[in-house]
Amino acid sequence: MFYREKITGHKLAPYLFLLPSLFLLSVFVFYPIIYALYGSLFEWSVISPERAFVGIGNFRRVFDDIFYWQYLRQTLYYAVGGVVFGTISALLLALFVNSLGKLSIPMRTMYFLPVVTPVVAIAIVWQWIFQPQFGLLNYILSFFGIPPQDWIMSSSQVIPSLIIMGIWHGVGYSMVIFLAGLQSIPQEYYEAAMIDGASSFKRFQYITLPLLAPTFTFLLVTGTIGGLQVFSEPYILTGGGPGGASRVTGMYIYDNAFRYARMGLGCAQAFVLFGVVLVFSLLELYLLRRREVSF
Amino acid sequence: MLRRFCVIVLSFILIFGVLSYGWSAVTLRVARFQNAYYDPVLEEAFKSFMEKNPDIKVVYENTPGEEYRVKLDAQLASGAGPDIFVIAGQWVPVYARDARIEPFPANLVKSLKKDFTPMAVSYTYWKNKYYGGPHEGGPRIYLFNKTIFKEAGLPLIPPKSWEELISYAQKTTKYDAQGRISQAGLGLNWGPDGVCAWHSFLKSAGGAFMDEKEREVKFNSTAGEIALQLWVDWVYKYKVASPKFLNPWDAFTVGKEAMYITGPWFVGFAQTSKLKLDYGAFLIPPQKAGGRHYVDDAPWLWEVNSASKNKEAAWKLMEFLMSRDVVYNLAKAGMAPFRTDVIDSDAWGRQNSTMAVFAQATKVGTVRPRVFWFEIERLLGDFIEKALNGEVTAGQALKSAADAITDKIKEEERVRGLWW
Repeated sequence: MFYREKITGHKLAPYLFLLPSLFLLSVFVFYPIIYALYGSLFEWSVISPERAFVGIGNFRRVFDDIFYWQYLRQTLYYAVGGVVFGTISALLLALFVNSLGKLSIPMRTMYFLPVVTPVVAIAIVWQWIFQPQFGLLNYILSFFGIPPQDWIMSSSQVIPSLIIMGIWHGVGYSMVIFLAGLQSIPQEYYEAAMIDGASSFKRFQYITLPLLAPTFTFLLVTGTIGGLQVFSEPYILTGGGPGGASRVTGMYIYDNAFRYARMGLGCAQAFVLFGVVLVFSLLELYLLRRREVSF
Repeated sequence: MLRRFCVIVLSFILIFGVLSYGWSAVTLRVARFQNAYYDPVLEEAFKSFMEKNPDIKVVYENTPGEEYRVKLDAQLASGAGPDIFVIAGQWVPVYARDARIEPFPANLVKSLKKDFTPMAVSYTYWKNKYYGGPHEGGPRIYLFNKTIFKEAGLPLIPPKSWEELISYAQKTTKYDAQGRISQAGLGLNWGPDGVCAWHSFLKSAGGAFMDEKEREVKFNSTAGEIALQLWVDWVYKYKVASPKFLNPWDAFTVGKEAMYITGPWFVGFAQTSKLKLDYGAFLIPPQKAGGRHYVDDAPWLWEVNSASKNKEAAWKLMEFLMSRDVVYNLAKAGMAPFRTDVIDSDAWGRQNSTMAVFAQATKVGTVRPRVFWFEIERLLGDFIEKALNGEVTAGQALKSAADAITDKIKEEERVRGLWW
């Protein structure tokens, strides 16, 4: 025997609240993604009223394009470096700020300020900081007897320079997430460990780190996704130079879609990047989730 | 009673509606990228046009430079494009191929050929039709710091050859205690700007970017290698320039650079910023004394949208925008003109000696390739930077760039056929 449950306003309410966001997501996120996938199957120049169906032809061009893979390698270098060093820096910063007591609030605010500063302003300032002859960084290094470095004017140092700027820009955000994670660890665990004679390092190793594993997972996965999609920082700081050494996949996609009038190819390149991001994210989730513990 | 009242009111509405349709203004949307010096002049020009044409309303839409093409393309693709817009001369083949711009009618073609420089007209020509009214130019010439020249005991006259240019640079370069440049003799143009600046040297050495039909890369030649080796020698042999020194625009602005290749936009910037800089100008010297001067230049063009519903009004406005008065006023604000009767006028060439050089440069502009220009700018620009950074030789840089661009040409032919 079947009967229908009476649909009341009370049950409809959550869906009604979700509708506006769902509508915006559909229009500005889902529809463009689906349309881009559809567009990647055509040869078209966005302004062209006609488009020729090429099937997977654009994807074949992506796989044959040596520049795409060169720029993807550079993007991966940036993403991996930024995520690893950024996460370590954020954790150390969070541990430091967490130990400050009342001073932690102003310190937290100070470290978070770069996060809310526009990328354009940051990049312009860092252009001067990295300037090989007159820059602040080389001036500081000179006090330690380190010879001046070429930074953004060197093919080998430009990506590390971008990583440094990226970490400075984003460490405040990761620090705040770690702080929340640290403050959610029950103090009783530390007290019990101290009673058992555990040193501070042992407490960090066996209590703090394992219980921060979900936070690590979140930051590493989101950091990798963000790192692989980088665009603004290299676009403004270096323009992709010197000699294309800091050109990232996002910039190449933009060039193909809008400068070279090859939107179909740009869409295909974007989806290949999406595939790379997905593979990395899933791999990280698989490896890191296994390490999460709860007491 | 009520019915009669309704009939009278509805009749009035109907009559008024029909009559208003005949009286309503045509609205023309005009799009351009933002420029603080030229926008006020254009706004005044549109006001003047509307006074003379009360049935046409002009709405001027300007967009920050970096976003302009993306916004324009999105508008054109969605069918919401402006009636008139500017495009770079290099974009004409693609926009004409995709039927987004309207070819000029015969009367305007006549004015175009009569009133504008041949170089500018050549950018508007594609497959036996003319597209676009030349709007803004950007001839690249050398600006030089007169104070530095005087300190070095140099005459304020242009160097006549590459050799003399190097000699001037050597006399005006200074070094710090560590042997690094503290005042550069020559600025090093970088990236896409570097390719535009290098164009003059390539042509002077007898080279070219591509063949006339844009099917074959030509810069990978002896002439190309000579031209690029010159730049590499500035850095490593003569030590009068350095990629590690200040950005050349900044260096010239603060008086730390003797000579720098740039366009007329510097003049407007210097005036607005009230720069205390005593500078002059000269054309990029030829390889050997007595040789021809080459100047890289490419116009921005006004275009009529082929999907415009107000083409008649748009052509009227186009004719107005190409008129002497409008071009003259824009030239006074610092925009490089292509009208032959404005180039040597008091709005441009006759203002002072620097502007006279810009005027001369406007007349001898050298055409760039159009179909694959952006690939050349990007790929050749990258390899020129590698050569200037000492990572590859000049020959290797040109060969690698040529191979990469040739691959792009073959790919385009394979995918779209030989449409150009």
